[in-house]
Amino acid sequence: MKKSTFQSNRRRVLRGIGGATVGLPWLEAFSASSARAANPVYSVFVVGCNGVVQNLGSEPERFWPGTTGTLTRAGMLAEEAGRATATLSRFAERTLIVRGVNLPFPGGGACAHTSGDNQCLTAQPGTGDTDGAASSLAKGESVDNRIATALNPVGRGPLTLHAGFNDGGGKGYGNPGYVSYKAALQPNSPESSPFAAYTRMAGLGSTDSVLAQKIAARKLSVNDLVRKQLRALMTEARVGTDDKKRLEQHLQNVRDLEIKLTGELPVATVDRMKKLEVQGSAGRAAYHSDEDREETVRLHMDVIALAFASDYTRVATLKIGDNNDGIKYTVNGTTLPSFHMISHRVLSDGGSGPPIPNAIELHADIDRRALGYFGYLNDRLAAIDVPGGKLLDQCVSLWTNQVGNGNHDLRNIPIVIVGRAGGSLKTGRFVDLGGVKNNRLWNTVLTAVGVRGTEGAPIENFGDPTLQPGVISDLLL
Amino acid sequence: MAVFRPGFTYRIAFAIVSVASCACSGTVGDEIRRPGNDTSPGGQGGSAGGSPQWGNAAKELPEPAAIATTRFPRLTHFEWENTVADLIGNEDRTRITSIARMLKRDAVSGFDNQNDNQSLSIDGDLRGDYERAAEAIAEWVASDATALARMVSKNGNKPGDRDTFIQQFGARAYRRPLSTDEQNDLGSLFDKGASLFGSGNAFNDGVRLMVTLALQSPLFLYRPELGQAGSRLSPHELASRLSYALTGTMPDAMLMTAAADGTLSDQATLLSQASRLLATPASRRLVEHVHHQLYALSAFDGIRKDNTVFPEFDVALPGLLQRETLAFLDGVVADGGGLSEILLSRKVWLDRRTAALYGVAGSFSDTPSENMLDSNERAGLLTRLGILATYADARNPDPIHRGVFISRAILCRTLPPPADNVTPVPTSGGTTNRERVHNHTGPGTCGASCHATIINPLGFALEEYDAMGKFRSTDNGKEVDASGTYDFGDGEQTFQNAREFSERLAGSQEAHACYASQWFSYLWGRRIDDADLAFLDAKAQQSVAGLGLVDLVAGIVGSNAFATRAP
Repeated sequence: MKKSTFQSNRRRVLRGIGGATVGLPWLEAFSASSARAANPVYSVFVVGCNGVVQNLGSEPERFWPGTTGTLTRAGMLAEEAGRATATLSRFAERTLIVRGVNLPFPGGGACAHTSGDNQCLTAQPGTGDTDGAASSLAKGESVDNRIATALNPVGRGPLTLHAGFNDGGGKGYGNPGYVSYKAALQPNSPESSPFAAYTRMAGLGSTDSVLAQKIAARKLSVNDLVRKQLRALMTEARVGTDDKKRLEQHLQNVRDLEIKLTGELPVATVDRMKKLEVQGSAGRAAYHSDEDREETVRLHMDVIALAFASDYTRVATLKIGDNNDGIKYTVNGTTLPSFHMISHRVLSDGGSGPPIPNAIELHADIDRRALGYFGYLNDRLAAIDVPGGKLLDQCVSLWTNQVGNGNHDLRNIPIVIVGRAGGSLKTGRFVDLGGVKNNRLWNTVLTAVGVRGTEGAPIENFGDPTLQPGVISDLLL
Repeated sequence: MAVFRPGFTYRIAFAIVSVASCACSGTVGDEIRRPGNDTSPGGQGGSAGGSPQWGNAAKELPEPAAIATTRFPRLTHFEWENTVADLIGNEDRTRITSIARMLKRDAVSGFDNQNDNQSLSIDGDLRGDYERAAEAIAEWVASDATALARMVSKNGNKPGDRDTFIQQFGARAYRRPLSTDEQNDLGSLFDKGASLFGSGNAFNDGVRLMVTLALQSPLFLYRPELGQAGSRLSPHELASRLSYALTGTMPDAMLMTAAADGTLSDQATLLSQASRLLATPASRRLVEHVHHQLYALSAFDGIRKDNTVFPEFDVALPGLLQRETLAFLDGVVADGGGLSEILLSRKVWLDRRTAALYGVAGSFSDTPSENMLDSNERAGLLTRLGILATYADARNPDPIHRGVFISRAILCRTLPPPADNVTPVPTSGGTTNRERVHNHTGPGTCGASCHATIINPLGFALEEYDAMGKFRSTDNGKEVDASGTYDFGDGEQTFQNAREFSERLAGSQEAHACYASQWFSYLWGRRIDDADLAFLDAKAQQSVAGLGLVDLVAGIVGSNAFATRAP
């Protein structure tokens, strides 16, 4: 067995997830990378659908704070009735709200929702619709993946989660709306089940060490043979470069003992996850159903907090909704039209249909609800002690959306960041960048979380190579 | 903490995105896989009533393109589940299915088996999932005496016989005979089982460890094709390619025998094996699996209706509509039909609730029974409840999305994206649903170029079916107008209603070329290339003339290119 290179004195206590306990990953396969700093920075990207209610075109402003400049709790609270971002007033000093970020490739040849999904974390165009509706894929890696490559153990991608109707693999609109990409045209498959995501992480957590040694020995003997077979295939004369890469990736991920958490979520939380495994109202697992959306989102967020607290991953992505978000919320016993229809203000998924009365207010309520969920995540992260403070302050916790508003506008993409990235970000502010393309935002985030290029140079050219490079220095301390 | 401060900044560029306008360019059709106008060299006729056309006639067809694909196609989760069930000889599909659900879903766009772009690779999560699944299966078969006996008898017929088990099970797991080295490797692994598990039964422990390995082996998870480019695949590689294409699982005993004795190298043997496999239950399951994706039947899960308008709706209904649609498609294939029958057949399997929605009189139970729909009201797939209710909102039919569905799933047309800016239709824009949609998107409006000519006529043809899919002759007190004109690539066609519309579609080469290319794409696990079009055109012509799905599939796998390792 490989000896751990993980610092065994960095114990953490996780509070705030209902008494969860977290210790160390007890057998660690982390590589001794210089990027694994003493006070690691974590990042999470929460991506919603269908845009927000904001003043683009003729609609009223219901999202952004009233004035740019310093954010204070009192100032945000004063806007609580009219601006969705006010929902996060309790984090005012730790919050950085950024208006004026645009997706770089409008009219990308795909359904606008898909186009937004393609670009929002990649700053790359999509392929356009090539195989039926909404099948466009991004032409490059996403920012979360870049972070995972730099900061996670070798072979571990971002923790990619999804709360919505579809599982991966569907044709046309029947997909979960991929936002995380390991490379051009290769989405990271999102996990829709909180229980599956948790099980994958937690695994042997509670196993005693004698049994664990036995299990390790079995895995070793099986894996030795798997590795031998993979190497033999890779040396076959006719195997091309792409196929070699494919096998190399597989080989890298053959671990003698998966990194497992010693910590676990409380039984009650795990029981809630298991409840979502049964068939829900839509004839699919309950975590796909509208009624259980909020529960699914919260449990995914518990998983993210646990994953960060135990250093299982440095980066996570949570997509809420699918290609678009067709959830039908029930408010005071009344089931509303689907969110997608509300976002278009008509009773149809297309452009035509009878108007939905009060659609703007309904949409603004949904925006508040979405930022409320995001607040839950930040509360969880803020409850975790790390040396010198709270985990949230070591984070870039970012909420965004595939499009700007219900009209598929790809400008003024909502960007709400909570957390200081360990002191790298100038928080407590609302800034308007006036129309910068999102590649520069991702350069800035990469810089803030400590990702560097060759020889320690900052990453300035993330995304499509035709875009103007550089970071947005005004956001950095 | 040291904070990075960039030495320079660029001026922020203001990128003004032009406010969405009516972006529909009207340039539809560039990518339509449409057969050319040249009428068939060789005059391939249909197979109706005669011997299959894909035998010797296949040699006269143009060949598909030799497109390089991965040499390591990975099993899809569908294939993994089927293969595990066959390998361990176990009938308990529920248990295997529940274990298969551990596997993280693949992020693919298109059919689940598209191996281009390396979409089916094995990342850290999936590798871990394979491990847990392998351990779960191995623990199960080693601890359940019945399951173990069944698996052992399937793999050597000699309980307790270590050597036979290793050799037989190993060869079935790797889908080819073992080399001496491989046999030795598996043997020494087997022998470690007793000390690593210590159950007191060395044979059981050895089996458990070997099953754990086998289900994680790259020789099991991938279908390696290692031969020279341009040459025929090795008999065992070919057996696997054929078996996964036609049955979604490992080669059965007869196919393995044909590979082992070398007869599969002969194209005639391959064709007869294909014909045999296509009659198996596994093949039927595969056809269902493909149709399920092709017609996006999982979208039925999203059907929701306003109970004040449709009191008959409840959340159990989408599942019944899926069952009805699959039974219909299965029936067409079982009867030797193809796309024409999918579009035109009125055969139906009705239960109590679907019978009521179709307005078929008689006594029905919860178990579906075969029946026939009224020729004055219904035809094939496009006039069935499931498709109609899916592409409708809670109260009204949605001709736009019905039209988009037909464009994409039946005609394989690539549509330009909808305009970024969508505006509501005034409720006063007309009396009927058709009028409202027409006035908003038809000629003279912003949506004219796409909707009026490309999308709407297809959807309007289905206006005689309400949002639940029930037949109606009036909408809001006015007679329904389901008539239209449409160009399927060979001149304008007119129709009065959905039955006539279905007949026009069934006669259009464009629809048949689409169907053939979808099946081609699945069977080969890759997208269509321009160089495939001549082959597909020929197949489309046969399909128009009545070629059934089974013969279409056999004709595709019966091409020489299918048996050849592309560069």
